[in-house]
Amino acid sequence: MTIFLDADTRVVVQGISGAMGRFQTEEMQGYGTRVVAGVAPGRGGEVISGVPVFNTVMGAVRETGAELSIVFVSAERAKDAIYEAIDAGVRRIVCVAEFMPVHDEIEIKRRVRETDTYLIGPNSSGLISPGKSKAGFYSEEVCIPGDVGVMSKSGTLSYAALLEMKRRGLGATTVVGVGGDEIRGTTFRDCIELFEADPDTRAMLLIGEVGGRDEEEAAAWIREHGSKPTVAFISGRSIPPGRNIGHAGAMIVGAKGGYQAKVDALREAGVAVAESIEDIPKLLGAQTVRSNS
Amino acid sequence: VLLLEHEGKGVLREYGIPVPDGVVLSLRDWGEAVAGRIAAPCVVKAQILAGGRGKAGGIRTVEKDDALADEVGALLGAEIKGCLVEQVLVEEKVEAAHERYMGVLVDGAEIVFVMGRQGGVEVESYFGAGKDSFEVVSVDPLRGLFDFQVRGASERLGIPAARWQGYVAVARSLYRIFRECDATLVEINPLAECSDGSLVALDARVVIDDGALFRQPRFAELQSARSGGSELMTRMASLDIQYVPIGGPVGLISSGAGLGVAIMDWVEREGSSISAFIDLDYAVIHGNTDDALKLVLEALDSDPAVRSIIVNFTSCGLRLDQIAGSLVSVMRQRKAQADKPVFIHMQGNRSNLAHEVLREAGLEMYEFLGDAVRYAARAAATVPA
Repeated sequence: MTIFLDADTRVVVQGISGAMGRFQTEEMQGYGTRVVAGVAPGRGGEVISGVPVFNTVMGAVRETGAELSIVFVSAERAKDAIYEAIDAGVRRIVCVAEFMPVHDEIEIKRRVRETDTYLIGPNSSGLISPGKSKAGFYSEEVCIPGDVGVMSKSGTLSYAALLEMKRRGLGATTVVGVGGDEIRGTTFRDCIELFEADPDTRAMLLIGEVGGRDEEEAAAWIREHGSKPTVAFISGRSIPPGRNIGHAGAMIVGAKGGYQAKVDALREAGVAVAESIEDIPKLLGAQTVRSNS
Repeated sequence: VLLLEHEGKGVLREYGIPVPDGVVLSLRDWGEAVAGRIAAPCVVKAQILAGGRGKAGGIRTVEKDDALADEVGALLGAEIKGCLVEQVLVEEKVEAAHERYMGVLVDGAEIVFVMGRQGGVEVESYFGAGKDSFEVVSVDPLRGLFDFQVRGASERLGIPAARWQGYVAVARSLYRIFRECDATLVEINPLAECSDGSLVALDARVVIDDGALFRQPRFAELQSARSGGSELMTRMASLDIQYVPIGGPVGLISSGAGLGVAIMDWVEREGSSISAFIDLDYAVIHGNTDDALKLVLEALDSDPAVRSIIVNFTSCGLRLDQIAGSLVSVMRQRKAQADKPVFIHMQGNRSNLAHEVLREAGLEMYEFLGDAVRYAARAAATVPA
């Protein structure tokens, strides 16, 4: 099994008429994703890349039974698009927009909580269940099917880690790009709960980054409930406190969000922390073997 | 965008929060501007973006009128915490009976209102020690900050009931600034409580969300006026290149914020450091690949501190074959005397085609990112400057 997305999941693309929306729709179709609808206000009734277009998410859901939405609108309009998807009853939403206003994210986060919606992102690299379906930027060049549940704040860093795994024959059940902003809908902890419940996921890889408390919260959950071997890699140890380099969320404020606190919390929870992405396959391999024995 | 104190105080004043009478003087035009405008006792404050300027000598109290010009002259043009003091704020001195802390900020995915019994303390300390002297109140973004929440915090901090209404008024304005200006931090530290019960903001720290500048034109203008920076940084910004100078000997040209940071860490693990964080993701997306590669390579080649260069593209969204083509042509145009070794790694979308393009052009590339990083760090340590 997978989490969030499998071969049957019906996907609607919000913003299908834009350059990125159209290109990514074709990429997803090429991979096998079941793209059943697109949304572009005022373009209802058209067909783009073989996909029927609707004016509203509500219409798309009613006509096609879409279950997961991927949002390809600009950061300025992302709040409206996400509210629209939630109002239409969609409970799995992927948002790739970067630089979404913080106040919009705060309001969205509240709405997501009260409706039990899984919002992947914003500033997400998307989802892929290798060999089955994808919604976002991940491609077959970087990952293969396997038994590791992968979650990452960074897209590019996860590509690099997945490549290291692929070279040693390790693949993923699902890869979740949780997003690089300080605020995100679905957290590492949410992903870990789902991966724990997924029988096909035998081990997990958490790719974190300095800033925020998501890694510490994940560690606290693992400590209480975790049963599957977990490997983590945390980037940003060389970012000086108070400076913002890379992602908006990768910022150490005072005593909060530093590298060592995250590593300590994870190690105390029994998570193997890789010092380099090259060490990830070895740690995953070793741990997977141990869990089988 | 972090506002200077006087800019932040201007916003507070607009929203009805009392601030001391004051005047801003700059390096160019301070001359006689001081005389007669503000009477001693007053305070001269360096307008710089660095925190902790008080301890660093950036805030001076002036007791007598004839000493004012000297203090202004001494502070203007001085360097404090690495910042050139281009402006000072001269303010009337306010006698505070108590100094408090008040702020609205983003904590995780929540808005919190924070009040402190004592001002002058770093707010970060509320996450650790000093917790008892701070009240942290969670605010529902859809309902806003309620008066009762402010009264409750005031009571728990031991502030007498007769004073609560004053704090409620300041808190309401502070919250309105936070929401209406798309701020991620609005902080008054210290907030003076005078013996007559009036409240005056003695400092202001306001951070506006860069992601919201499209709907905050006045702050967008302020930022574009400020980000003059060096000519190089302006050129980088015009091509959508993310550029943060660091200062080490390894040049890094990369794409994607997360992997760029991980490589920065990795270079440090190998005993070296990068010269600058350079992310070409947006430059490539916006079609500036050729110009961006040319500009950053020229910048790294002409920087004598840089001794080796890593070029990394690990990408799913970008067309690596096209980027490889650009890289080949930029490398060909590279000046003959540019002999810094370049370590190329490309993996992901259409990387097989990219590798062919590089191979045909005779450019060496590395199969493993780790090798590119290690060789670059080693080369930076051994190549003479």
